[in-house]
Amino acid sequence: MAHTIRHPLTRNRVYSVENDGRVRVQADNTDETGDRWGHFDNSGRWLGGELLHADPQMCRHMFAHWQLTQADVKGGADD
Amino acid sequence: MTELDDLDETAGLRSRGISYQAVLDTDTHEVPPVLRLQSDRYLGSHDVAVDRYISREYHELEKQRLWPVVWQLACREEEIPNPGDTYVYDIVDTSILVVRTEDGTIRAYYNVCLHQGRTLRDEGGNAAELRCPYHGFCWHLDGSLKRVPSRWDYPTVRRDNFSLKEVRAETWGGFVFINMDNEAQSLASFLGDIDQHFERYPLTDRYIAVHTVKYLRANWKVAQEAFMEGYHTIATHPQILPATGDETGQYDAFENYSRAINMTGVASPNLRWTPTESEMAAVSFNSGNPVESTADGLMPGGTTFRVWGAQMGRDALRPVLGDAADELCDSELMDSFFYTVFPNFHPWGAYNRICYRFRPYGDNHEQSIMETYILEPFTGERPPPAKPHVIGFDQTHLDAPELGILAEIFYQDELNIPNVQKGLHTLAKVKPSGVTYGVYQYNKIRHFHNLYEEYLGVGKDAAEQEEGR
Repeated sequence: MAHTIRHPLTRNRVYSVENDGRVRVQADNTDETGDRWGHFDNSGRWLGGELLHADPQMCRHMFAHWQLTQADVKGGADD
Repeated sequence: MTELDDLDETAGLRSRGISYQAVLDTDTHEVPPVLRLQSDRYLGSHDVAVDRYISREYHELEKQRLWPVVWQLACREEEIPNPGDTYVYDIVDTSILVVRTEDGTIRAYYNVCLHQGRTLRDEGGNAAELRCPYHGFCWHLDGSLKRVPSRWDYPTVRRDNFSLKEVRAETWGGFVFINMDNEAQSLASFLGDIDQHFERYPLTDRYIAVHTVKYLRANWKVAQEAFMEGYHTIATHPQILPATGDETGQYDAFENYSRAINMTGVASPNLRWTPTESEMAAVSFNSGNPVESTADGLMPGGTTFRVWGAQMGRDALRPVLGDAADELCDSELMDSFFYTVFPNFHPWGAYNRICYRFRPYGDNHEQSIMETYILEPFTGERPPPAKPHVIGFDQTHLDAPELGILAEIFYQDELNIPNVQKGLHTLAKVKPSGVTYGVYQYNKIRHFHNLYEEYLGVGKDAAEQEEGR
C-alpha cells in the first residue's frame, strides 16, 4: 500500500510521495478552498502546484519513509 | 479572555487527556508497583538562561566541575569481553582507556603515555600490553610499568612511581561507567534505587544490535533535550498523534535520574477526531494512516489496539523470555519509558531497547555526539556487539537504515536540533530570562538543570549565574 497520510491535525491535507521523492500534498474538497495540490521537498519547501504551504515535519516524515523504503527495495534487488 | 490570557493554575497543570495511571487501571495484566510510582515533585516554573547552551564559559565550567567528578557511561562490558580488550572513551579534552585485565576485572586509566604525553591507544581493540606507539614506554594491563626503552636514560622513572593514572570504573546493567573523582560516591550509591525500574528487563542480558554515532551541530544539552520530553510530538512527529498520548505522559524526577512514560494506543487529546483502533494500529505499524477506511482488517474486532498490540509483543518476546513474557503487562509492551541518568545517559525501560548517550564533540561547545544503542535480548550464546556506525555532520540518520523506524523519527528531530542552537543565540539578545520550559512536561529537563546548577555552582537565572562565575 502506498504510504499516504491524512494529516492528523489538518485533516483536509493528504500527504503522499511521488516516485522521485517529492512530497505531494492534496487539499481535498472538505473546505471552501476546493481541490488543490502542491509539491514540496523533504523539509516542506514549496516546489510547485497551487497549494503553497505544507507541514515541514510531515514532509520530512513522508520523505524519510520513502527513502528508507527505496533503500529496502534496492537492497532486496542487490540481494 | 481565553486561557492564553490567564491560565487557571488551580486546574492542576496536567493535561485534560486520560492519565497514565488511569490507563494502567485498564491493563489486562498485573501492573508492577514501579509503574504506579509518581514522584509529583514540583521543580519550578522559572526560565532557564541561554548561556549554558551557547557560551564557552559554561563549557569551561563543565570541564572543571561536571565531567571530572560525575559518573558517566564509557562503554558496554560486551565491548571488552576478553583480557586485553580496550575501549577508548573521550570526553571533551580528556581521553580514558578502559581495559579488561588478565584476571577479568575492568580497569580504566587516563589514556596517556606518562613519558611524553601521547595518547597510549588511538582506538580500542585487543592488546597484550599497553605500549606507546611513539617511543615504546610500556605498561601491563593492570597499569604497572612493564618496560622502558633505553632504561639507563631515565633514572627518575621507577616501577613504583610510573604506573598509569587510574580512573574509577564500575558497572551497572552491562554498562561500564567511569569517574575521574577518587572521592566520588560509588556508582551504586549514585544510581540509588534505579534497579527497581529495570529488574524485570535486565539490561545485562542484552547485546548491542545497533550502535550509531551521530555528529550534531548543537550543544550536547540542546541535543539531548530533544529526547527528554514528549511535548514536541505535536509539531515534530505529527504522524504518530493518532496513536500517541503525547501530552498525557507521566514525568517523574528521582534523586539522580528521571523518567518519562509516553503512551501508545491512546490518541492525542489534541486531535479533533477519534481514531479507530485499526487506525492506531496502522500508524504504529507505519503503514500509513489510511485516507479512506483501508485500515479496516488490520486488527481483529472486539479488542483494542493496546490489548492486541501488547499480546503481539508477548508473542514476539516469548522465544527469548519464555513464559515470563506472559507476566508483562500491556503498558510494559506498548508504552515508552525513557530515563535519564544525570548528566547524559538515557536508557529506556521495559523492552524499548533504546539507549542514548550525548556528549560534547571534542572540546567544542556548539557541537555534540549523539549515540544510539539498540540493546536486544537474546537466547543462547551472546551475539557479538555491532560496530559503531559514524554518521557525519552532513549526513542524516537516514544513512543508518539499521535503525528502522527510529531513523525516520530522528530525521525529523534533526531538523530542529541545529536550528535550536542557532536560535538560542538570537534568543539571548531578545529574551534575557532565557528559554521557557513547561512546568510538568519538562520535568525531566528541569530535574537535569537543577542538578546541573548544583554541580556547576551556578544560580537559576542569568543574574545569579553571573554571580556564580
